[in-house]
Amino acid sequence: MNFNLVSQVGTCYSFISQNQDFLSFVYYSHIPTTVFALIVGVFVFIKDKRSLVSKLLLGIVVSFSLWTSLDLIIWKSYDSRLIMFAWSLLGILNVLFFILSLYFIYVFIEKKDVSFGKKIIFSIFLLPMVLLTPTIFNLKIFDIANCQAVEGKYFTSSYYLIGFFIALWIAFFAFFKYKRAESHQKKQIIFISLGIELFLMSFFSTGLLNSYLVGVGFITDTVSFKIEQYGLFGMAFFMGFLAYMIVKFKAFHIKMLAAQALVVAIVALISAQFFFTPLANVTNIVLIGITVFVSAVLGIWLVKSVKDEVRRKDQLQKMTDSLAETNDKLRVINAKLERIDATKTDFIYIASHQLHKVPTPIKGYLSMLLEGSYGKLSKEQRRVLENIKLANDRQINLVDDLLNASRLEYGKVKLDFKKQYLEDICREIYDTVLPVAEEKGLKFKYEKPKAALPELILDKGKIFEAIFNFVDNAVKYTRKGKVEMEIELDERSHYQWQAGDDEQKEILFGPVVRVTVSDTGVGIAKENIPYLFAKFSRKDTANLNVEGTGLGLYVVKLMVEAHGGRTWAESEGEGKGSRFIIEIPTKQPENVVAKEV
Amino acid sequence: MSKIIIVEDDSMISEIFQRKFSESGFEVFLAENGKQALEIINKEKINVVLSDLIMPEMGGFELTKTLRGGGYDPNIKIIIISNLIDSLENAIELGANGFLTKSAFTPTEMVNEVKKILDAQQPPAK
Repeated sequence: MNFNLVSQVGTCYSFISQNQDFLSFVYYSHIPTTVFALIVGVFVFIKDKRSLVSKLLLGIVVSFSLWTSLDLIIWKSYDSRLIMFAWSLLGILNVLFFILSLYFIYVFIEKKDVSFGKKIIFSIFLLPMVLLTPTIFNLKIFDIANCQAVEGKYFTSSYYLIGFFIALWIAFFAFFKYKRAESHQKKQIIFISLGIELFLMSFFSTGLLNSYLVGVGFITDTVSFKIEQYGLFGMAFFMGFLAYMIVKFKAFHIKMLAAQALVVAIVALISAQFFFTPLANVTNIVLIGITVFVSAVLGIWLVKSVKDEVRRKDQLQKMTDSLAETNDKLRVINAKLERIDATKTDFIYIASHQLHKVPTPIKGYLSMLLEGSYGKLSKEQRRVLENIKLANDRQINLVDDLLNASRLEYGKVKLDFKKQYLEDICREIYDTVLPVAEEKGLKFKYEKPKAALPELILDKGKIFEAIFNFVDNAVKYTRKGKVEMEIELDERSHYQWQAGDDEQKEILFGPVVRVTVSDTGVGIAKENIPYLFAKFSRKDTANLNVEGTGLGLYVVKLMVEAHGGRTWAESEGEGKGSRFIIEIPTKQPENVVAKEV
Repeated sequence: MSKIIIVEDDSMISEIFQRKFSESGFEVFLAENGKQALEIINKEKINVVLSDLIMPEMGGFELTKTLRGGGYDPNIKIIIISNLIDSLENAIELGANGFLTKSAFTPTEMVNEVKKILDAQQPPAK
């Protein structure tokens, strides 16, 4: 290379002036790429003005566009002063959009601003350019023969070095981020880093390659000029990737409709090149033809994926809507159920109260009749009245049970827990029932515990009622023989009990205090045992004990469970007597005992 | 002789109690609701009020509140008779001396319970 180094101000005849054909290629490489970049950059910025990442993108495309504009001036102009001025700014713009690209990928992937330290490092990259741009180190002289500036060796080298370093930095950064990213982020990282690398690498490598190849004399300036043009297409790829990301991943928070508009604008503008660029030669026709074809295919594909996306979104929306609708329905049903439930409670409660209205005065009159308040009764009259009174009392008990069950179920009963001995309660029951049993000619035996029993946390009234219910039934349903009540501590109980609701289950093991009430009475048919403690429902009314223990045992069960205990019945069969058992754990769960039942 | 007023809208219950309490030596007055009861209490020196809870015009709670609200002899014993056993606490809080479950006792038992409450220095009893 032998430059005629003439520092002369004025016009010159460049390589271009003899190669109009080449000029259209220069236009082709500069204008569509720049327009494309500006559309995407400005579009993203308008849509998402506040975010740092769209500001940085705008910075990249603006500095890039400035670069291409200046470069175009250099190619087109014959004014050496203008060429020198434009040329002198290329280096700094170069490094500027390189650094901005690095900054951009950091913010894009990490979704936050970089540290102050990194900002300093970024600035240090730019510093030599800022300082050297106005000096002789940048451009040495103007080569009038070739109509171009002569670049300073160190300046160019430093720019290449920085470019290479940044491209490498981005590659490593993206690689490490990719490895650690979650799967849905991985694709985005690939696209954005590939786009940036294509942009930077093609830009910077064609420049480097040129200088090197021209330097070693492998290619002529003419060829090098051509190669240089291809370097700009990397930007188009970068922007294409960005457009794809906007559509595919809704990057930059851009909505579907806006993304569609973007795609249409890009395709339209690139197609418009057909009309602006001179079609004087085959190269141009082929190049623009390919571009239009590629951008059309790309555009169609993008629009299609946008449509797919919209359709998917619609479907999803429909599904969401129908789900919401179902939810609403469920909510209504639930509210209805709750209402029914509440109504049921109120109903049972009020009904129970009302149901007392009839048997209460009957009880009063009958008692007084039997007590002789209304005159002397014959034996037969007394027998009948006693039967009526029995039936009436049963009615009252049933209503009481119903009321109790509903009160227990709906949390209207406050349990009065106190530390006490279960043994004392058993003793009291024994003393109460013994005369009744003896009157019936039954043996009633109370088996005292062999060892001392621990104190338990009990609601005396409720536990009394529960055990009394068993003993009372045993006496009632045993014609002859005996009734036995036994209380004992079972230290080796394998009893497990789940306390609390599903959310806070507590499984308890350990010793229990067990009260067993056994009799030699009517017994229970095996198939009826499972229904004894059940609250009657329409389904199993058929299995309801005809003799009408009614809700009594269900109430017992609720009360025992309120103590963290359990209760059940055993029988060898009808006529073979039965055993009713209550177990209260010695380690009672706090959350149950403390709970108001 | 203790003067007792039975405040009860169910005439059968009133009849039974009137008879039983008279037999047991009480001077019995009857009222169908709280208002009527207050009129009688204003005229007679009543010792015991035996009142139902739910009645037209004025119920047992309001009657208790009025009698304990001042202007009435604080020594009047108030005993609530009802099957709404959840109301026991409320009744005692309002100043009732006792609460008896209506369906649980025969008239004779009821009289005995009332006597127990009257004899007790420190009510209430259930």
